[in-house]
Formats: sequence, structure tokens, C-alpha cells
Amino acid sequence: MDTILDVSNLVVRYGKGRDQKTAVDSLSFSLRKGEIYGFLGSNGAGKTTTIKSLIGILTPSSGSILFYGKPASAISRRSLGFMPETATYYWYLTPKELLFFYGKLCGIDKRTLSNRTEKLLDLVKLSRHKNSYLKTFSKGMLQKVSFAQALINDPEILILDEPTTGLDPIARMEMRDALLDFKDAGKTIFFSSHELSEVEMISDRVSIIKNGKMLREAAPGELINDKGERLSLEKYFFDLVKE
Amino acid sequence: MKILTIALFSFKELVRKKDFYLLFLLLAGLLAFLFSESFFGVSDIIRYLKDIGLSAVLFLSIAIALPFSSRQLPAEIESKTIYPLLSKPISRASVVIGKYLGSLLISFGGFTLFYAVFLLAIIVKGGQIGVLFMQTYLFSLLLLAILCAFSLFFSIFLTISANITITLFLYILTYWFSAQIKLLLLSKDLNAAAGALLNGAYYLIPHFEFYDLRVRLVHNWEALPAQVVFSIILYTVIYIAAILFFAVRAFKKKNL
Amino acid sequence: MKAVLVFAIFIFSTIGLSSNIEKYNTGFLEKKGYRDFDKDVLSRVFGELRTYLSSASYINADIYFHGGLYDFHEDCSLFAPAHISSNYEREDGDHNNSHPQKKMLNPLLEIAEKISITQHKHAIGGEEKELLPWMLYSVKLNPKNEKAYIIGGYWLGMRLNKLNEAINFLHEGIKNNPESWEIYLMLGEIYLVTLKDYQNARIYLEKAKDLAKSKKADKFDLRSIYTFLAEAYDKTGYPKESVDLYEKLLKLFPGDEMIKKREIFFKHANM
Repeated sequence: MDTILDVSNLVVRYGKGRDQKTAVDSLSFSLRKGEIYGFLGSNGAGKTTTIKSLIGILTPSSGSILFYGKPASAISRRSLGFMPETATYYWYLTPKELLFFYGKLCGIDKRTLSNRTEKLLDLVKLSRHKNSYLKTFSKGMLQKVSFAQALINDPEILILDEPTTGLDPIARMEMRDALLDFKDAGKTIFFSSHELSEVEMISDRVSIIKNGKMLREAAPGELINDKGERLSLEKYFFDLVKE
Repeated sequence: MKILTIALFSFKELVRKKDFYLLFLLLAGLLAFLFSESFFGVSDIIRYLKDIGLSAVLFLSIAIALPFSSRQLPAEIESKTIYPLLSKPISRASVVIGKYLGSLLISFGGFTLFYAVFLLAIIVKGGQIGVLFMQTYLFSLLLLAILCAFSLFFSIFLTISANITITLFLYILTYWFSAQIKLLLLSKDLNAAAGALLNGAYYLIPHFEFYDLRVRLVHNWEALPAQVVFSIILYTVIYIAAILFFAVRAFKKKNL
Repeated sequence: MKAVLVFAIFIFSTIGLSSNIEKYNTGFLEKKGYRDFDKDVLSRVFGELRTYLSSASYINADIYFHGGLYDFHEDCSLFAPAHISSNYEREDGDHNNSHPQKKMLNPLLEIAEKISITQHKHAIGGEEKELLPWMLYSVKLNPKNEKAYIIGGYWLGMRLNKLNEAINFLHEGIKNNPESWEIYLMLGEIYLVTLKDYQNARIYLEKAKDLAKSKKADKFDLRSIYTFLAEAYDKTGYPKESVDLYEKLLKLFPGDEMIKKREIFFKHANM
């Protein structure tokens, strides 16, 4: 499998002098094309900081992030789709207008954009609400809009931060199915989540970080403790993070 | 193209927000009240309408421009819509310029509508619309453009309310400060060092007084010569470019 | 946003007008002994703000008279018929605040000089009507603003030929300021000079004289009253009273040639 994303010795520090805090500490991992990669950690472990570095919002203190062997830039963001943890958008837009807005920023032509918008709204089951203002949307509906906007540029890599937050069980299942479909289509998915059972269900590989450091990286089925026992992701995670 | 996209979508906010319509109604109500006033049975009294009307138009336009421009970047950061925005293939510089253009569209759109109503009131009252009205329109747009630039720049560092307050204070204080420096520069007793310092200060401070044609318009003085108009336009463009340059630099370094 | 707007309005009005208003207020109102308007509910609620706004309106009328510029010089008041000239003419001496010629080394300074209006003009040829709104607002905000009544009455009655309006306006001024000899004087002047109604002129000017005496008006104020009243006496068949007034004026202004001439004139007319 091709390596689509390569993160090497990523360090991200906040603040200066005595107040300086290291959020990500020499993190290294890579993504292969077509895989679903689960990125796990407790609150404050450094997951969101890592994701912000991947999408170019944060400049790392040191280390490298390479997309297809090249440094991250605006060009690489053309093949990247990002779904943020908090789904808040412009209250004065409709979901259709929002997708149009993001689509234009990705340089997509009007006709393609029009077709794609309809398909995406259909995918997330929001076609009925396409002309309603986002200020009238519930948290779950906004999460669906958030997912749709991440797909507007038909990205090669999807980076999702807590994608199933706020979704009801049916919507979660639909999201999981959608991600698996994307994987089948050759897309690469990198996502963080607190729903360990879901991560275990769909991920090809997972990594667990704590205090900005990588603790373990493996396929869900290869999670074996010191005693040689094969554990569920949930059990393995709790044991590892508690140490 | 991407910059224009950001600008146009920001403009939608003005159209869909109720504040603008409220201010428009306020202006219309004020002009209607002024129009209906009778002063000792004397007709064709028009200067007070020009004076109060134009002041109201400017004030309300600033009341739209400043809050909008001061909110563009902080609102994106606070609501975290900045993350999906910057995850798209668009640079931070484009975001800043796009937001600035959006503020301009909002300010210009609001001001143009207000000014049109003001002109209508003047015409119906029997006033003449001449070159000076066009110059006043243009200079007011320049004023709004420079205020939006300042507001956008300050929004990278300050909260929305602090930003509006500081920008307004800057607007008021530089009027006074500029006049004082001018008097000093024109006085005979000024040594070379002080002169150089004051000259430097005079270059740096924004000259909002350049855009104030109210006295000329209200009291029927002559219009400004074309050379002066072009000089002021050039000055404004250069000043705004400088502010935006520093704004882009600051935003690029900002930790989001 | 609303709080910021209200704050901005407050800042604009106080900073922009405070120095002018304070100068006007302390100068005029203290002289007249006015310190409180306790019968007025709005004054009690809004206090000095109403008087400030009234003063600001009056100052605005002055600014309108001078083509948008405010001149602190007393000799360039709204009563300045002697200074009337055609529009855009430069005025003499200290009437203007023009700058000495200096080579401009700073292009921004050159722009500032080119856009600023350094010489004022007086409102003439009907333009005086533009002052009226500010006079009206001034008295609406503060009915005790005598000066606004006087000046407004002057422009209406003496320059704009709105005699009924002038008289009604001044009567309103008297109603609100019954002790104001200046308003009575202006009424008398309008009846005398414009309406040629000498009877009424005499009545109002006599009242002005009585009030001025009780208020211990200075000799310059008395000069205005006595000269007009003398004229009214003369026209209504009281020549002796005219002469008496001029004799009183001579005592106040001994050696004044103009007063001497008028005294001799009325004495001869009385013979």
C-alpha cells in the first residue's frame, strides 16, 4: 500500500518560557492509502492538536508532515477533507449555500458543485432541509452538515475529529457505513473518537496516545497485553492509558 | 476568486441580519421627521436637513461597518468555523483580504442605500445635487474603507467591543491630534529635529479629516479640485494596503 | 452593540462640544444669574444636559451664520450686519484664522491645507433662514435661552420679513423669561424699525427700560434702550422725554459726539 501521509517526530509546543507546554511530543505515524486509521486518546492527550497540525492550522514546533512525500501546503489541502470536532457553521447560510461556499473555495466549477451538493445532502439525509437556515438545525443535523462539507471536494484523505458526536444510533450506523464505502472507493480515513467500539468495528489500524506521545499502534485484532492476552480495544485502551 | 467568494458570502450576513433594516428604518424615520419640521412658515430650509441627515447617514454607516468588520475574524475563531475554512485550499492571507472585502461590501452597501435615501430627501425638499455630493459619497466610502481596515487589524488582537471602542477613539482623537500637529508644523519656531519628528508623526497618523466634507456640503462651499481628490484616493489606498499587510502578517502568526 | 452606540453618542457630543458649551454657558448664564430651572421637570430629570444641548444648538446657528466655521470673537456675533460682505470674500484682520504663507514640505500637509476652509463667510441674501431651525431647537430644549429668542427674533423680524412669526416668537420668549429686558428691547426694535408701530414700540421699550434699571444693566445696554426709546417717544409725541433720555445718555457717555448731536437734534425738534 502507498504511504499517503507521513508524520515524523512531530512536536507541538504552546506558550513560552515557564508556561510552555508540550502538547505533542515526537509523534510519528503514517497513513496508507485506502485504510481507516483510528486515533485514540483521553481528553487532553493531543489528538486535536495533531489534527490541527495535519490540516495546516497549527505550525509544528518541529518534525515533518508529508503528503505524498511533499510538505503540507494549500495544494495538498485540495485532496484533504476535514470534519471538525465542533460542528458550528454560519447561521445565516443554508446547508446548500454552505456546501457551495466551501466548494468554491476548493476551486470546483459550478456544475460539478451543484451535482455534488445534491448528492451529499442526500447522503446525509438533509435534502429536505437544504434551504433552511443552519441556525434552525439541531446538533445532530449540524454534525451531518459537517460531514458533508468535509466531502465537498471529493478528498483523497478524510480527517475526522469525533465524527459521531451528537448523532443518534441510526445516524451513527449510517456514518460508519459511509466511511466503509469511502474506504472501498480508495479513500483514506483518519479519525479520532471516544466511541471505542465503533473504532474497533471499522478501523484497519489504531494508535493510542497519551500526553502527546504515541503509546501503541496496531491493528485492533493485534492488541495483546504483556501477559499475551488478546484484549478488546476498550480493555486495552483503559489498561494502557491508566498506567 | 476565492477572496471574492469569502467577500460575497460575508455580504449575505448583512442582508439576513435584522440590524441593518432597523438602522435603515431609524434613518428613514429621522429624515421623515426632519422633512416634516416647519420653521416659522419658512420654506426651503435645507441646510439642517443636509447637516443632520448626512451626520446620521455617516453615523449609522459606521454603526454597521465597525461591528461587522470587527467581528469577521473573531467570530470565525470563536465559533471555530475557522477550522473548516482553513482546512480548504486557501491561505490565511486570502482569508484576511476576503474578510476585508466582505466588510467593504457590507459597509458600502449599507452606506449607499442610506445615502440614496438622504439624496432623495434633499431633492424632494428642493435642494440641488452637484459635484460636491458625489465627492462626499466617494470620500465617505474611503472613510469606511479605512475604518474597516483598522477594525479588521485590531480584531486580530482585541475583543469585539474593545476593538470598536479603540477604533472609535482613534477616529475621534486623530482629528484633534492631526490639527495640533498641523498647527505646530506651520508655526515659525520649530527646530529641525522637532520638525522631522512631527513630520514623521504626521505621516503615520491616519487623516480622517481628509474625508470630512460636511462643512463644504452643508454650507455650499466649492467642490474640491480633481488633483486633491486623486491625492486623497491614493493616500487611502496606500494606507489601507499597509494596514492589510500588517494584518496578514499578524494573522499568519496567530495561534488558532 | 447598543451599549457601544449609546456610549459613542455620549462621547461624540461631550468631547466635540464641551469646550464651546462651557465657554458659552459660564459667560452668558452666570452673567444673567441663571443657575437653576427648578420648575421644569425635564430639567430636573436631565439636568444640565438640556441646557448644554440648547447651547449647542445656539452655537450651531452661529456656525451656520459663518458658513460652517465657529468664531469665538464677540465682534463677529450673529448680530453682525456691519460685517456683511459678499460670499467668499476674505474678512480683515483678526476676523479670519488664515495661516502665514509657509512652504509645504509635507505633501499631506498640503492636502490638509487645500481641503480646509480657513476663511468664513456670512449668511446673506436669504441664507439667514438656515439658522432658524437651530434657534427653534435651542428654545425648545431650554426655554430660558434668552439669547436664542433675541437672535431668532432679530433674524425673523429684521432680515427675513417674517414679522408675525418674529413677534409671536418673542412673546413666547417673554412668557418664558418675563424679566428679560433684552427680549422686550428686540420686540420694541421690530415694532419701531420694521413695523413702524411707534405706540407698541414705546410700550415695549419702556418695559425694557424699567427691567434693565432694576437689573442694573450696564451703560452700553442702556444706550441701546434709550436711543430706540427716544425715537419712539419722538414719533408718538413725547419729545421732552426724548431729550431727557439723551441727557441721561450724555451723563453716561460724556463727550460722545453722536449722542451730543442727537440731543441737540431732539432739543431743536422740541422747541
